[in-house]
Amino acid sequence: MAKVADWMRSNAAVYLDNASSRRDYRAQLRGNRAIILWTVYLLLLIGLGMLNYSASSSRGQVSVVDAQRTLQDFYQTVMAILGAMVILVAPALAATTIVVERERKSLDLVFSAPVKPKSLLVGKMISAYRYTWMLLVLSLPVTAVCVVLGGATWTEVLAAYALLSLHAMLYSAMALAISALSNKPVAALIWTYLSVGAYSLAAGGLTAAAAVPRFMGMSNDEAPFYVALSPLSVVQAAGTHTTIWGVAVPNWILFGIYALFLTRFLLLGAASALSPFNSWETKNLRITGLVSVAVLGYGLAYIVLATTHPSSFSSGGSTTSGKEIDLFCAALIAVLPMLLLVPLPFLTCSGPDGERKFWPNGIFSFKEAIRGTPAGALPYLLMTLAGVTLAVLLACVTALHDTPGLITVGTVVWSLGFWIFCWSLGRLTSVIATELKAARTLHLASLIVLFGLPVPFLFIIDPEQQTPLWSIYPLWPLFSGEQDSSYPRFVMGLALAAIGAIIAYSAEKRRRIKAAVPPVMA
Amino acid sequence: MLEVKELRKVYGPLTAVNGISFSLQPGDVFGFIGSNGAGKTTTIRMLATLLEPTSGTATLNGVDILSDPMGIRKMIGYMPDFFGLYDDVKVWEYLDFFATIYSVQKKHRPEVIDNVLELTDLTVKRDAMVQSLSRGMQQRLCLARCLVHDPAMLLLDEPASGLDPRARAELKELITELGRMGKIVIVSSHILPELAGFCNTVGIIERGNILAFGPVEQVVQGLQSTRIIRVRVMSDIDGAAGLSKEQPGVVAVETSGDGEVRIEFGGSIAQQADLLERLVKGGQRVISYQEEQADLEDVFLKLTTGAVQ
Repeated sequence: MAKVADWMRSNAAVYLDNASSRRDYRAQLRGNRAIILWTVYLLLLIGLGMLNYSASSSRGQVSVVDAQRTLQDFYQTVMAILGAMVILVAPALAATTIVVERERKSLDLVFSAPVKPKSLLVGKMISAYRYTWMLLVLSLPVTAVCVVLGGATWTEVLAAYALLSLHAMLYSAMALAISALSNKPVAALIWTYLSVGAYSLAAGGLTAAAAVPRFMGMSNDEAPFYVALSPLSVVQAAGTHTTIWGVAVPNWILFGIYALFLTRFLLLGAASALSPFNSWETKNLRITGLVSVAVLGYGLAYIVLATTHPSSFSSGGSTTSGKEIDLFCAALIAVLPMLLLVPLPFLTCSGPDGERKFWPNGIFSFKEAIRGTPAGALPYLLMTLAGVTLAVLLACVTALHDTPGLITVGTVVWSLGFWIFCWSLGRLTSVIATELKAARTLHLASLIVLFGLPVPFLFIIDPEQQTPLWSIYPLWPLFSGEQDSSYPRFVMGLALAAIGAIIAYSAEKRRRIKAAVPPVMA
Repeated sequence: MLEVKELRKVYGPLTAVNGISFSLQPGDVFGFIGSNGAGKTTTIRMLATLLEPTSGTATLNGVDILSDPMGIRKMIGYMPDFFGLYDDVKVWEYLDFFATIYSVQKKHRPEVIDNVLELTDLTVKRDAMVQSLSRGMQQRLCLARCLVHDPAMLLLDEPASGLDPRARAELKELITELGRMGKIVIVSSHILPELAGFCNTVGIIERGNILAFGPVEQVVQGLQSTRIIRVRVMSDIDGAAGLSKEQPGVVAVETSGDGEVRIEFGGSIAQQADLLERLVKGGQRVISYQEEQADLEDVFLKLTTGAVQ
């Protein structure tokens, strides 16, 4: 009972009496800056409304249908502007919050007090989110005009605002995570906008793909949940739903679950970056990542397999051949763990950094996989791969009462080799570079050089993909014309694993030689 | 009580702190002396739980810095060698922020803020913006921040650097007062006159090793086989010098034109008292009889090689 009371008290302190949030609130509202900014923002929105109104009224008499269409267009324009505002403003408010404290060294003062990273991050999140939310609330009078005049319903407006709020939360969390990892405010801003841009483009693409059937009049309000991924199309997404087990679930609710999960994940990442060795935050992040990838693998595999195979309980699906199922499962097993490529340099590289969590502590230790030290990198990668493989197999069995074939097995071997190879590069760069940061940069650069750069050159040399030159490209077995065969995957997987083992062995040997040299006093 | 046990910090080939050990009692004002880069800040940051030791540990009132860093943080106030101030807040807001993160109850915060402002003589600046304060005031505000939760130990890293003489004197007074309040105060500095006045214990560190540790007098005496006694007499300075030479323990005697005899003395305390008695009984009218103050600077220069600067 006492523990529950303590837990409630500490959470109340984090969420309701957060020192960082209160300090930022006072600073944000001090002077006339905020009032002037909000006034200008509101005037701009009102000006836009007036322009739209005068353009409509100058056309003389219009039919009720045309008038309503004009109002709907106006409503869509306002919401698209708000979506753009969320993409631009929400990350800007959070991107420098942690890094500026680190540069000003006030972060040291905060962490010399009994403060956990969670408390600081929640405070920063509330500060950034509150400001964006204020901008959204201020736009309500303008959108309310559309409701009053018949351009939209209150339900649509509220759903659209809920979506915008969730997008703002997600973008703030993204910026905060990058801020926690950065050392310079400018670098944090650049990386934030690069990440936000990449995410927005990918989300926009998915949204467009999901919205095509609607625009073509092929479906009514039903659309996959990823129609809600872009903040620029909240109007289109607000009224849609996804049917799950016969129940129409609004997509803004599904997006809410997605946004909350991703926000939690990003904040855990930020908290882990701010935490010392063996922290709860790092363990939680690792377990969450592992479980999430497995659940995602199971969910995606189950949904696709259950809705496309005739033996499944979906009535409207199309027939899928056994080989296509095999290829689909193999693709999931190859692609899903690729999410780890982003944090890979942080997982694998070690160095004589001030923090014990990055000290070289051996090659392979299952115990360290969840603790988050370099010795746990390979076990963690293998655990993720095993998790995805098992999840996909389980989905196949539960959805089809069947198992995938040899292509999937070949892909598992390829994945194994690929991750051992990527991990070994991290070990090598850690020995070559003198600093941890340099090792990470070198690792990232080597991954880009090995897997990204060859593609344009290979296309220039052999655009028809006829010569065996392409077969030396590590990712080739996944996309080649020989994809129906498991053989190239086996071969490439084993080759990558062997090369990775040799690299890791020589790196470890070199590290031991370096460690044997007695330390020199500076 | 603070106990530091074999504390060590290694950065690759560089050993910043090389297994240092010492202990301090409540009320001790400990001067941590060393050149730039000697390992003072690294030690202080390890004690503040901001840096993890490579090996070794420290306990404060039985709480370990490694196993319970949050417990330690509740008991310490850390003032780094930089201000780390938020420049867009008022003085009371700054203290309110730290009172909140140190879990001072909401109803007690105004009183606590007023108390620490009074202690650091900043009450008149309560509503001033932090960036408008002078350097000395900002330093005092940093100290006030360290005191909002009434810590058992204060870690002050180069607290007087960049302060003018008046601000320095005020800070010294404040630190002495904190020692009197029963707190363990660790003050690091490489400016020795800064520490000599108010520290009752000193430790000299170089290249990560503690070269000397203990009460100031003990450290000085431990290194100097003799001490200097200055005697001023009314007249007959040569007679006083002659009498002094006969006293056991006296190593050398010098006289100066202004009636002062400088005696290099290597004997015991009793012999030192006997010397005064001999002078008085020998008919000398003694105006003053004074042992020269221990000079930390000499000790520091003797002990250290100056390799790290």
